[in-house]
Amino acid sequence: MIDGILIGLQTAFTPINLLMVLAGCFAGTFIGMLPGLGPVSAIALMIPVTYGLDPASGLILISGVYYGAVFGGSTSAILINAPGVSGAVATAFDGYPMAQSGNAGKALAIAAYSSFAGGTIGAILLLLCVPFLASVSLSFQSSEYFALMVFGCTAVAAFSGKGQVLKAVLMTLVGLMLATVGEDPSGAQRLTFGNPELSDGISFLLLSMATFALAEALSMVLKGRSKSNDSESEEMANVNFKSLKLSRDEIKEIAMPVGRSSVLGFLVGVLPGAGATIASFLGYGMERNLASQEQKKRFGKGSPIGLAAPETANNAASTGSFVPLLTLGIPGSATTAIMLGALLSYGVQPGPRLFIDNPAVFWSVIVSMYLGNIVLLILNLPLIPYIAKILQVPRQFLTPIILFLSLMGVYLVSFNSAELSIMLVIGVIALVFRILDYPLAPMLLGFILGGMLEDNLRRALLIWDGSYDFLWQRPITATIVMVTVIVLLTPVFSEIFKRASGKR
Amino acid sequence: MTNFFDNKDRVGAFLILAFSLFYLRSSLSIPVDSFDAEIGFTSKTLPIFLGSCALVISLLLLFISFFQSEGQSISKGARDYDWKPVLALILLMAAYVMLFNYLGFVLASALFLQSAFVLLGERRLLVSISVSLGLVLFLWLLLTHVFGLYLDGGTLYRVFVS
Repeated sequence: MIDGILIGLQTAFTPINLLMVLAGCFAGTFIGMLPGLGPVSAIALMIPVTYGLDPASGLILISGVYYGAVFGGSTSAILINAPGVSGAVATAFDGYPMAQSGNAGKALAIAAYSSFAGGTIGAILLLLCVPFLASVSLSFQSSEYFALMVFGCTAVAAFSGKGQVLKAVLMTLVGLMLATVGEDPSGAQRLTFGNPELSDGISFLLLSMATFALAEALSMVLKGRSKSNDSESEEMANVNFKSLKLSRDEIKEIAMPVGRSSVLGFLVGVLPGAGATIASFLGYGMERNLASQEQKKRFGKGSPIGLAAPETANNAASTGSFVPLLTLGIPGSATTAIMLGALLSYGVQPGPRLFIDNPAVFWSVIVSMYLGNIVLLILNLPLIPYIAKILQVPRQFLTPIILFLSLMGVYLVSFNSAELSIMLVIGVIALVFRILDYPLAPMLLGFILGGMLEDNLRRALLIWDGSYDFLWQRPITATIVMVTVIVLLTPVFSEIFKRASGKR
Repeated sequence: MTNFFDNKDRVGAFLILAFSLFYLRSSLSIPVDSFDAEIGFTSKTLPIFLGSCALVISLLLLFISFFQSEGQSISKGARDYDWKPVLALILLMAAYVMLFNYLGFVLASALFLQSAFVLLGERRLLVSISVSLGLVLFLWLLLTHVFGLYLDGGTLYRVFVS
């Protein structure tokens, strides 16, 4: 193993490869900042460029683009509340309020440090547990995935403030309902009302852009914040190198959540199909559940923990998703599916034999991924003060530009202008629910998990001949179900306990 | 009747209740595959379950809203809202979407941005035209020439070219 790591290091540190990772990170950050163009599109766009390069350089360039695009997505989520990729949705919950309160630089710095920490811990775990984790991920069947998706839905509690639980549950159900539109797991069409635009279902990007970016921009105008208040935007964008520095208390506050979210994110990332999005939601939910009452109140209003946890989990999961790709040849996410395509085009066959037959390629991919993480931190931290200047753009320009980029983001994925009409309708409905104080994040969570939930439940029922016994007869499934029940019932019992002790 | 709709929770619950009823009604008419029926999980099993849950919870929320001592008034908050520019922007976006295929990416986008800038109070025409045209042309060049994506020139462009 040591020999393999040394070969990987040697390959990654040649001047041409260092240049590749620099160029990749820069291009990735830029592409990732454009709503609609996330890591998947960024990597897909870069693949033709890498054809002329040798496999190692090509993969290093792609890794740089990947990490850059992930960071770029977080940047647009934090600065303009436009999470172009699903993995950055949870980042916007606290990142955007933090930027709005004049701490844009600090928010971007926390995102950069957390991503780096998540990537680092993920890479260490990857080095230590690759062979073991590959066998664990193989033991996960549909029933375990179904239980995991249900557990993911319990993260809904994290988005509900006082008296908001029912509304959050209701919005999760709306998200799950929207996820059933289009083709069902058996391939049949349902709830499309004969509309061909709905036959593939509603796209995630469309829903996230409509509910977050579009509704947010319209809400800014509605609340009379469309005209530029010079002193306010200047204050928000007034970021210098000093404001990027975290205080000792802030580091102390986020250190443990970063550690926990890294491990959680990595483990979720290892499971094929779970991926960075679920990891970021689970990371956010876990930290909110573990936070003290005082910290809990700050969630959704610019809490550093609320920003650090999903960012860390997201990056650790991205690293973890390489375990099934490299050891089993199973792409666990859309991004790793594109990576698999790139590896195959270089003549590299990922799978259980790669680790044994071609250790140099295996380790150079891992080393180059980590190198991308380091370069990103070195390259992007100094750029943060300049990136934050986006907030200084007068609102009468910024608002229409956000609307335009959101619409374009959706159009560039489907090249279908009819999707823009659907997006506009959903955006207006989302604005109405924003006005009515209904949380929209649970809807997105339900939507993301809905498809996978149904798919795995159906498969589990097929395997178990239509019986639901798998819920208690499979040990891993039963454990996840038990944890879900505990997570759901803990707030109820703690409330009863509090009331009882208050009466005494 | 005016008071009935002057509560945020109630109106929201009412809207979702209406949606759930419509969704449930549509779910009941989803065609079922005979093979799926054997395992007891068809295309409509989950939609019916979800629709029923949403129906019950929205009814519950609606019921609770009548006992809220402090109703979240819609009219109170709406008084400070700037409705006109929002409605104008929504109409502008609808026009942009409708004209997109006809005018093409560059023209439709530049017109949309320019109109939105003016609508939100930008009076420096030279600045706003430069920003709208500059941004659209930059994106067009980036997407078509750097990333090699195809962006439709629009029906109008094709009429003039041919």
